[in-house]
Amino acid sequence: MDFSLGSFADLFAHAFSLWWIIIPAIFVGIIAGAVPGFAAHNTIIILLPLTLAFNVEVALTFMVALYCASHLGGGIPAILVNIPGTGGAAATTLDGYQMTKKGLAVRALAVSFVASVLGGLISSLITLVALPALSQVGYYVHSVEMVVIMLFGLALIASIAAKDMLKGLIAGVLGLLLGAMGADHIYATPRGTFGILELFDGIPLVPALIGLFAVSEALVMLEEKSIVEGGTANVGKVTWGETFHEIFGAFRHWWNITWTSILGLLIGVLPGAGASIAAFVAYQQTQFFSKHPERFGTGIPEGVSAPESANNGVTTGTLVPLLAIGVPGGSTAAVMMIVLQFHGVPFGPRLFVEQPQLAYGVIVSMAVSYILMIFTIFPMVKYMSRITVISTLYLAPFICAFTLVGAFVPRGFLFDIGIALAFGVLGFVARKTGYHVAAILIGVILGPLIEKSFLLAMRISGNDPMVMFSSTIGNILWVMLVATLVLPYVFKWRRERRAGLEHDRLVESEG
Amino acid sequence: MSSRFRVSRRQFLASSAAGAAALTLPGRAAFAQSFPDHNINITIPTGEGGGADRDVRLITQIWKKYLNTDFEFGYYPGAAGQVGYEFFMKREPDGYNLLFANMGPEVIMLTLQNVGIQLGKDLVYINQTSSEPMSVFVGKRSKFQSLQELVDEGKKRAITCSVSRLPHPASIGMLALGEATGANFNLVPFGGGNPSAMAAITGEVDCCALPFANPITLGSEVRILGVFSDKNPAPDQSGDAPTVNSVFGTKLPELTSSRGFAVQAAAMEKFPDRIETIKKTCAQVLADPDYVEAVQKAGLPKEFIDPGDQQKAMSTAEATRELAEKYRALLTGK
Amino acid sequence: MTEATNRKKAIGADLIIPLAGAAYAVYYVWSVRDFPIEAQMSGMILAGMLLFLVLLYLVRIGVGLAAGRYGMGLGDFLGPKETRVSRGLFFVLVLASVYAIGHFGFTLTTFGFLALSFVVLGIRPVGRAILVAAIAALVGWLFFVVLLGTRFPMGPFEQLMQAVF
Repeated sequence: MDFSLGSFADLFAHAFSLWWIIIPAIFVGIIAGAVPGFAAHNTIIILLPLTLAFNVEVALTFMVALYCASHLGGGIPAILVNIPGTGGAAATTLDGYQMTKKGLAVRALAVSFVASVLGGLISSLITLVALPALSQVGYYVHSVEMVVIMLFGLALIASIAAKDMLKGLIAGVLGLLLGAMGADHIYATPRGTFGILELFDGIPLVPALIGLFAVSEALVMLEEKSIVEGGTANVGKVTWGETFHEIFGAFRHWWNITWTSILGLLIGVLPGAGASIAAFVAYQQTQFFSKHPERFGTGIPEGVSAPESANNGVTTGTLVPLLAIGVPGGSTAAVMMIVLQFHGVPFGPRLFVEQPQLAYGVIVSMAVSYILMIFTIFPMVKYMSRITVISTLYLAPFICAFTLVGAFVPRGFLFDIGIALAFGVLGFVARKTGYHVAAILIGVILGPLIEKSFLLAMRISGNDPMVMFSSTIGNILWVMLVATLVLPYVFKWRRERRAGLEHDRLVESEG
Repeated sequence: MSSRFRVSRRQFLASSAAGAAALTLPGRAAFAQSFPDHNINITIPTGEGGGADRDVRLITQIWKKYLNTDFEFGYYPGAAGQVGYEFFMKREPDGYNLLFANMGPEVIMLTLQNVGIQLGKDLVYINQTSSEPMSVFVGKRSKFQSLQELVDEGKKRAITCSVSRLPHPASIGMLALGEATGANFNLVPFGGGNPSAMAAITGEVDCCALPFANPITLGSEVRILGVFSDKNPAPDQSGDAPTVNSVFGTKLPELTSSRGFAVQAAAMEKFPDRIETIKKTCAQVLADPDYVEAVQKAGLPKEFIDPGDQQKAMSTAEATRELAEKYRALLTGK
Repeated sequence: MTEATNRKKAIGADLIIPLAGAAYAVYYVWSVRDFPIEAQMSGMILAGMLLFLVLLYLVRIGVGLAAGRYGMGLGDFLGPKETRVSRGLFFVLVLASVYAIGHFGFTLTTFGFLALSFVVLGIRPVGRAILVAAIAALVGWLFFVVLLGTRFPMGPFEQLMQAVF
């Protein structure tokens, strides 16, 4: 696997020469990411006949550019209309849409794009130099550790629910129970499905996401003329100067972007984990380490940068098991494997021995895709934010028309449009009565994943519950998890106590 | 830079135009023959990127030579294949809808789960395209060098073995091995070939049992300990792994999984000529040297190509059904 | 202001999710009653947790009702009165479009749904509503069906276009 600096320079130069395939892939990827139902792997499957017609290197470059761009695209509707384009962008809605409602859509988009591009770039460069080390992560993180990592994501329900803990927990547990619908992981017997075949494989994520966020948002937004609080008068025309000011300003969050992208990369490397887990954990951890955790959820830039850089950090991570070991870590990587096989290209360690320029070339293409996104996407911030001035009378029908049909895309069942509608009604009721839709979605996404890892760990141990505390890494993660849950309350209590003492002293001195 | 990097922008535009045409104008190339005059739909009861997906794409790539049509793929994983099978039965029985079956695990699923689809009466496997034996393997860092060592350890403690799912020939193989040798195997279903293999490679479990092609494509990352058949069909690509029966002198049945196409029985009744065309042209594909080359290019041994007619496919299915009945209690937890 | 704050908080609609959730939890437990323990475990735990939380919530509501802080009305659940009819009709159109898409395909359904929704919601002149709907449906068809080759539900329009080109 020895590769000199000169070879890397060659690879970069070569990847840049493929700009003519990267740029169209970026645009298709952004649209695919932004429209719920498409996402990267669906779009790549849809375009597979085209991809298989290319030579293997062009095909891989096209796929990785599309993949990266789709992760960036998912955040756009999350910010502008409170609809995450992909599960990975669900956490982005929490602060992104709040910023839009305050008339700060340009800033939110700028932060999201800078975080995505910088996060993706950082993680692909780290992968390039540390691929062998990264491929080792999977050797130490097994089902037990996965359970705890996903519990970090689940802990987000608690912080989302801070306003009304009981309602938040009801929403989260309901999501988890809905996520437990479908065939069980061991015996494949369908549970809680009302005998409906379309639900045997569990609640399909995309229709649930479309319903909870898009349909319900469309129904709620019609109650006002504009999605911006106080009307569109608050959204003035944005100049180029202001646009670039916001973009440069977003680089202030470089430290948060760096560490959350590394977190995303590490989670992405784990088989079975994905962008949504990474984004939830990154958001939750950023809030934990923040000096002002109470402002999360009210529309602050860190709430956008953390999930966006993490879900773009995942992109390179998911390729690591495929490249280093030969086993795809996620659905997009599995489709890429088909393309490699179709062209007779070996994968796994043999790829590095036989065609190192292709193996490293994939990662370099990712880095270059992110660099090219700077020039293609950043200027669009200025125009995209104008969506928020469109009247809800137009927006709501558009959202329903183009997202409901998106529910049909992943599986091709008309029934899934019905699921989206049912979740739309659930989401509407939830929004109107103070149950957080994000809490329900976190449950639906993480529920089946946690259950699977938990059952695997239990079965491996011969059903000994103590297996959950049997590994060093797992135990360290448990301690961190407990700290994450308990410390914010301790800090809050101390702050309040100090403030109380301060108050008493002031009263005394005044007295 | 290598010669692979030679697609020009012009070529790209030409190929994308051709690709777009292929995508948007399916079935436009009308041929003299009446069947097929539009696309053929293939239902795959497992996820995209799995072994069935890989195989069916290799077959259809060559099939276009003999059947002038395009193929559309639909993936319906869920409940060990039940979802895909039930949806397939709802499709029009007109010969334009085929199911690409992973017969071993799916016959077991049909036997153990109350699916209500009867083989022969409702659904017919019309041919067999490939078959491969089940195998047991460990990650390259594992301490187990041989099957004997694994079984010896299994007599002292439960050996964890990742499998794709419980209703699977590989699971039956491990249960049968345990029964014959007195070793204790704890089967852990990871829900797919890729995650199962990964669990063995990373050492989360002691070993993994999957169809033979899986460890072969993983190359030096794994060590194949044994094969559940009378003869190792690909000794060169598997480090000359022994057969399980040769190691222990046991008489375990051959445990294979065959892939092949299925149609609804109603389609056979209504459109026998169409099904005949499917069978005949598919047999031509399997005998085509280009197909053999494509299989080898994908890293699979050509010995796995195992053409068979309807009778052979159905008798393989019947043998699997009997095995599933035998191990019903262990596989269903009831 | 004082009158508004003094009014009882309407919590009738707040009960929909807990009660629907509790009903599903009971059904879930019933549906797994004969299954092996591994298939039952997580569902049983979650259903138990949900039922417990709902019980706590009901106690909270009960106490609030007894103290006169809560009322059983729907409150702001259905949004501003003046737009209720148009929003209700819009929801009916959403339901109708879900039913229609299997019969009329993506393009025609999208056009019809958008045009009618715009009109119902009050976009005038009607000609503009129809024009915007037509452009949106055609752009959607061009991008998703023609360019990407997405398998959206097919209808007369898609079939006609396929036959023509």
